[in-house]
Amino acid sequence: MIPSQKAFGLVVFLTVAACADPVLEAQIAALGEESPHVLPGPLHRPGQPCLLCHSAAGPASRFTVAGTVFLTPTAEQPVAGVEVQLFDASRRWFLAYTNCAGNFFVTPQEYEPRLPLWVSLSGQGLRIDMESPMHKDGDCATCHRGKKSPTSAGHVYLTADPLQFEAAPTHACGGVRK
Amino acid sequence: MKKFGLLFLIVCAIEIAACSLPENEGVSGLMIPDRTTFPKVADALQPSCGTLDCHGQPGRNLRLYGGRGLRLDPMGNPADEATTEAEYRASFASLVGLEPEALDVVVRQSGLDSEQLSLIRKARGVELHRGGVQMLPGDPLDRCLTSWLSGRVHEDACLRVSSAPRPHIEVP
Repeated sequence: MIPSQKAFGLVVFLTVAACADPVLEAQIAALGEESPHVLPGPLHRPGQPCLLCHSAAGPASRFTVAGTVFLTPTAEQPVAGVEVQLFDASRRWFLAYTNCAGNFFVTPQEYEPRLPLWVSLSGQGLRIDMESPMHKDGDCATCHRGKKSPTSAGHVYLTADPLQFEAAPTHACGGVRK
Repeated sequence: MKKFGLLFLIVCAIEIAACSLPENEGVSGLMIPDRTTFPKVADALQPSCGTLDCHGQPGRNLRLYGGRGLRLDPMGNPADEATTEAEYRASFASLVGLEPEALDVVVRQSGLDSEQLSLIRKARGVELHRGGVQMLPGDPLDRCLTSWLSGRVHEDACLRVSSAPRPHIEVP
């Protein structure tokens, strides 16, 4: 390798290193390892902040909106087949659907919302509207992360009525309703 | 050697003193907007500014607490209880502490030229704001905020914002 190539390589390396975001990297690291039972893909990491990785600055393909829907505020049971209705500041709407892990995600090719973004959920004969819109990005877990706390509204849920729990069908991830 | 040690200690003491925080109690005579009518303004700010993904975050310099945002009580959450008096007080302290001198000028001039405040410039989108344009001159949130700065809060405008219904999603 000639010296000029070495210098160019060094400049590229330093540029890339300088562009790294240590805060983002720390946030991603704090999410922990992948579950050994779930391959990285549409079913992985339910309930986690998807857009940390799935953003322009992140290491994975970009999503504009993504999250996980659980059945009730306290249940850890995800709900499949929920219609996620998205409605943005330009009055453009998009429908996304949860998979068997309760996850849904929207790519920039499908829908690039202009924030604020309003969200409603509909499924199993139930409907719930989010009270306030999303202002910063389309990551549900920015505000809905884990259990309720001073900085979290608790996870996203379809119904506050635990009695609806029995009514919710489960879905096999292959798409067969049980 | 002893002299050198003494000199080193003096330098350290000066550096530590230089790094200490300024005493806020020492600032006096600056005017601030009315505290008693602030809850109406805070309620209007809550839906567009005080959500958990925006200024309802502990790391923000404008830090807004509220019943549907960041909670002051470590046992609280943004889903169940209304905004408390302590939260109004904390949000007020955060807001008036942003630019005390500029706020003083605006309040002394009865709200004239409120765009001296980055609070107004950012909310109007005149200055770069990650949250985008949240109000335009003359709309209810703008009237609520600027009238409060002028000393005569437009309560109807504030209420119109805080009680605005959620837009209905029309999906064919």
